[in-house]
Amino acid sequence: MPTEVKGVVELLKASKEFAPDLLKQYQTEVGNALATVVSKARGFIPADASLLSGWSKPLSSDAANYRAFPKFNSGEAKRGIGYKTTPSRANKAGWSYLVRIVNASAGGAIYETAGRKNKDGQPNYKRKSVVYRTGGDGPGDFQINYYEEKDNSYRKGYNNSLNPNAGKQFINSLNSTGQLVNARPKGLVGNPGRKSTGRAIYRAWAEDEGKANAAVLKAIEKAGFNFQKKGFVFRGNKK
Amino acid sequence: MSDVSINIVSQFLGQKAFDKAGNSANKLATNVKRALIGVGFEEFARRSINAFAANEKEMAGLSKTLKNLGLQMQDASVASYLDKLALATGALKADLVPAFQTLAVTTKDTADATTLLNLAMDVSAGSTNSLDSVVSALTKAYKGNVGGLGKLNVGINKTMLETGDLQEIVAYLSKTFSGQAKTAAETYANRVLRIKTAIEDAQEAIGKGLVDSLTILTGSKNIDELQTKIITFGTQAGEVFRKLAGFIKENETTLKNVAALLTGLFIGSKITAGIYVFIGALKAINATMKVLRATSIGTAIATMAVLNPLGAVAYAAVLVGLIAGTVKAVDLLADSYDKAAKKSNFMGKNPIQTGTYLATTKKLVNYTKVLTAEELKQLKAKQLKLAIDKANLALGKGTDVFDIEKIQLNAALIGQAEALGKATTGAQILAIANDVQRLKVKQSILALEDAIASQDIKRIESATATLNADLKVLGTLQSQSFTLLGIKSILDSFKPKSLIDQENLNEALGKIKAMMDLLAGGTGKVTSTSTPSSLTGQPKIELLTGKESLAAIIEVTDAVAVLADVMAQIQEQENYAAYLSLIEFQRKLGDFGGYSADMNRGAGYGSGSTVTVEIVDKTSGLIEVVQTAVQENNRFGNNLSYAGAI
Repeated sequence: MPTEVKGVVELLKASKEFAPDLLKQYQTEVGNALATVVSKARGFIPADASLLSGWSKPLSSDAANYRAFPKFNSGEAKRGIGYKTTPSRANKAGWSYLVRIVNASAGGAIYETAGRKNKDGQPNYKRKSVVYRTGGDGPGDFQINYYEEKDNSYRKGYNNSLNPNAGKQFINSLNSTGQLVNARPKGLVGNPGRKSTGRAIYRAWAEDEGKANAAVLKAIEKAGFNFQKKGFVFRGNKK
Repeated sequence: MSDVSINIVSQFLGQKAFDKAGNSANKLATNVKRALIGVGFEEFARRSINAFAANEKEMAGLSKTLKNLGLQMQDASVASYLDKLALATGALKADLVPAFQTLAVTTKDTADATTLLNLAMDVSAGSTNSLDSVVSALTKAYKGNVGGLGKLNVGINKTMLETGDLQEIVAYLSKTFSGQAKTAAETYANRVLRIKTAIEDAQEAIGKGLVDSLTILTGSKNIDELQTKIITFGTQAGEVFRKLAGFIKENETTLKNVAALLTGLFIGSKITAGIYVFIGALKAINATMKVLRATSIGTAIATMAVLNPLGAVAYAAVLVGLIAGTVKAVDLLADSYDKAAKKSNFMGKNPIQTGTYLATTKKLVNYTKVLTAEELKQLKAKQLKLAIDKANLALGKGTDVFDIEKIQLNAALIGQAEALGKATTGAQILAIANDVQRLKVKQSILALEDAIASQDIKRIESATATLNADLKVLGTLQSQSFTLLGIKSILDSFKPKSLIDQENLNEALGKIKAMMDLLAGGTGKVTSTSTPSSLTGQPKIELLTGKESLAAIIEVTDAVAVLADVMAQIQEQENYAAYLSLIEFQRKLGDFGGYSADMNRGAGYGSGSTVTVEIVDKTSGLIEVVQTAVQENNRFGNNLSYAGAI
């Protein structure tokens, strides 16, 4: 859960216009605070050979008219991990995020999150069961479970592989290189959601134990103080 | 796929479109509330007049400008156009009028000014520039300086600017921003602004109406005359109030006395309607004077009229009701103030000159006489009520301690104790004294009830005092904080009258003695002598007829009880004497079976001998033996019969 602040967007805009040096100082301090986490997260990205070999192999052809399942490249995934200090566009609810740690590459994001919704991979299509009754003298009733025969159409949210255990095998290989860790601080009220669970940046953030978070907030506070120290006064969103 | 990220710091930026509309609605609601609900009519009237004044000032400036430009014929149409434009776009007239004025001065033509103002409205609505800045740029461009238009950032390219062709630029702007003002006016936020504009117009109209109404009411031809009349009104009002205050101050003592008398009489039952009216007049004057003293109304109106004529109009309008109330109160107080028309005639004259002082004083004297008689009657009634209250209080106390059953029960004890001559213990005396005092309290209560029935104050007071004294004695007795035997005054009053006569006892004893002497010196023959009963010849109590008072009945009852006790005691003495003679007789006859001193004593003689009765039943054991044998035979049987044969 991000920390809510007020006036920082205006502060950054004003700093960019009237005190660029303060903005640079702010960005440097935030970067220093997050560098440790980013570095550690990059360290959790495995080598290509540690994972299923097929995920790292390049596509045989680029002629496909659909977006194929992203391939994993260790270097690309490491490069995709970083931080951002520019405010994001406000989402539908009106929230803008000022400081973020991101795992931007597709392969890296899959490595980060695979298995946090379905630990054994996506389910196979429509599991069914039939109960057979054998009568009074028989061995007793028994039940047979099976999956409905799959047609060729793509179904989102289900295992579309011919191998019904494909998802589980894929996730097991990822778990062999790093477990899913929830970055939510302990002691908070409520159940930890899966949205803050991951293998790289979330794990690194959890292991940091809030030190980077405190440093970021301190940097913001310092930026505001320094801005006012220069003689600028904020009144709401008016300069 | 959405970014996988950890959001560390966030800020709520809100949703701008909704915010703008919401803020506008809130401001409108606040304005309407302030205008109509929250501030009350007085404040609303003041704001309406201020809005009217401000609008009048702007429009007057515009009219003057048009007149100076030789365009006075267009004055009405321009005003109408600006009103419609404000309503259609939601723009403030405070912005439109100066803008049009600037354009009119520049173009010296109302048609061009209208065209340019419409264009400026469109450009302003379609860009981020304010109306003022666009008008300023257009004005400069009209004079040949088109540089300002370039700074508006409305898409005018350098070529157009360099050519400086205003018509081309205007054509471009018209094409680019056509209908922007109208479109913007249809947005939610601007519709709210348009409603606000309508309300402001209505407020101005109301303010105009207020000023017009005051002008009509005062018979003024214009605002200058109204101003003069306000000043005159303030001066006259101040004078009237000064005189009124002086009158009240001079008669302050009299008024206070009258008010005090009226207040006292108000409690009573006989108060005339005229006095009610008088009280109402005094109250009205009192309330009005408080307000006048707090606001200094007369001086305030005059001062404000000089400094701020329009403000004074509103102020005076509010105070008209107050002044009317004052006049009404003065009318009620004295005839000289009964009509507003006469009031002006009395300006400069004091109450003595106008005769109101004398008339009022006479009325007050008459009221005072009436009040004096009423006051005496009321005082007498109060005294009677006070005496009755005190008596009721004492009666309440007496009822608490009166217990007729206990008194009747203990009456016999009194007679018995006195018959023996004196009390044996202090506790006995205490009980006797309490009971007798209760009787006295009851007598006092009855006396007090009679006194109340007669409504004689002196008698009531006397009876109340007696009852209180009796209650006090009773309380003293019940407190037992001293030795009763030492209170001779109380005990003496308990002495029996002549109902118990010691001589009777002596006579009886003498007869017994004579009989004993006869027996002791007898001749051997038993002589039976019939001795008349000593009970004969005792005083008798007449039968009650039922017409006696309660006190008499109680007294007779007590006397009967005492007499009965005395007679019983005499009878006992006679019996005892007969007993003694019987013993002596038996002694003389000899011992027939054993004489003993206690042979004739029974339970009633109290010698203390105990008779023990014992029953010795010697047959009960046999019965048990037989019964047991029968039961066993029945249960177990024997050699003759089997079990259960019986």
